[in-house]
Amino acid sequence: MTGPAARRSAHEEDRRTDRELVYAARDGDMLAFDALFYRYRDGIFRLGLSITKDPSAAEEIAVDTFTRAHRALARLEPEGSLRPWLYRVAVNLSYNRRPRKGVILSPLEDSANDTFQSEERSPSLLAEQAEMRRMVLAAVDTLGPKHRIVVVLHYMNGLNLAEIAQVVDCPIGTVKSRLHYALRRLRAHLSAHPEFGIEPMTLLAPSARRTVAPVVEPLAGEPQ
Amino acid sequence: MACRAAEHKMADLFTGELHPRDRLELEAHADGCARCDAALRDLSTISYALDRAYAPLRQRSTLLSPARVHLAVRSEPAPSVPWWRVGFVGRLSEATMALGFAALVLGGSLDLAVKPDVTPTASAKTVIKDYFKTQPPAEETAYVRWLRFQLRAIGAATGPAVRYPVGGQFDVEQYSNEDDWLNSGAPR
Repeated sequence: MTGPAARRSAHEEDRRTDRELVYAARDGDMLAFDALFYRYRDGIFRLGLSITKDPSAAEEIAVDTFTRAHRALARLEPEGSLRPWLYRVAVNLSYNRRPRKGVILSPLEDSANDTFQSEERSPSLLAEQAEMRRMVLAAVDTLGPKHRIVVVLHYMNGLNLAEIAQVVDCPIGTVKSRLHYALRRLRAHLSAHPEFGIEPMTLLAPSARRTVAPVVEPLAGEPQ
Repeated sequence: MACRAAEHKMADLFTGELHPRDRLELEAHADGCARCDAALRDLSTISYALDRAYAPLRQRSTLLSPARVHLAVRSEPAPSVPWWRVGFVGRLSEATMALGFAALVLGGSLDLAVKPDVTPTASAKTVIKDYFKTQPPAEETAYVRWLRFQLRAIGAATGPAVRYPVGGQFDVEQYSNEDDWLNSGAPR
């Protein structure tokens, strides 16, 4: 493998920490900067995509984010990971753009791979799952920006609570409250759809609790 | 455990950061609190649905090249330099400003150093007027009047009034013969 593909592969396999890469890039090593770019490119792209609903805008946001990072290299002091800093810039850039109205990111084209990989599942089941995903994403779009960004940063980008707190610049307790509030709003929104099995804001008997889908996958050998 | 704390523990649970011991506490609280129990059940479902909904989007990637970032970095506009910082004019204005600033600082410090801490009691005009009051006038008549005034002032301060010539003429009786140097040694 030669050429750009080989270079990209080398960047992706760069085992240096963010801090080491930042210091190397500060000394003029553009390959270290490229390694940072390859490391966080997709996450920032997805974040911009989930906020703006526009792939080209999301790419521009990724480029702008790294351009700002390059400009800020001299004063950048990443404590362990650069990720919260980059995501914070990307969130600000994303919210500065006007999102496309009425567009819901459809996971249909993304689930095409699932269709080919899981032939045992019927097309109707796949279509039903895709429709449920679409409904969930549409419900997320009804949330306010403060609550939606917490949901997106965790469920889309996989950030933990501490990292989300750094990105949105507020205490962890506030992030937890926002996540809880967002989930309650989504529950109110999705309880109209019987597919989710959520009864509309009623107090149910405690005995019914463990019959729903488990949050944590059961261990092998654990009694169901 | 209060319901507020249970909400925070639920957030920890949904993000996979809840310690097993805390999970037991949360479930114990939910067993006794119908509201938290319903929330735990429903929000678990919502969290699971969110996880499933975002799963395909998490696979999305971009073929964006770092060359676009390099291009953006290179094509960034150079910081605009105002005209007073360009060429000879710039150097001159910088030197002038530096000198002016230094003079300002130095002058300020000197001014502070020699500043008298005595508050003035009289204005400059009063001081000048007092000075000329104590000086004899140049014109002869005025000088005689001035001298008489000064002597009277001294006499008033030192003792009984002394008689002085009136009308610009000396009283002859006040002079002794010994003092009359015009007639001393002269034949009568």
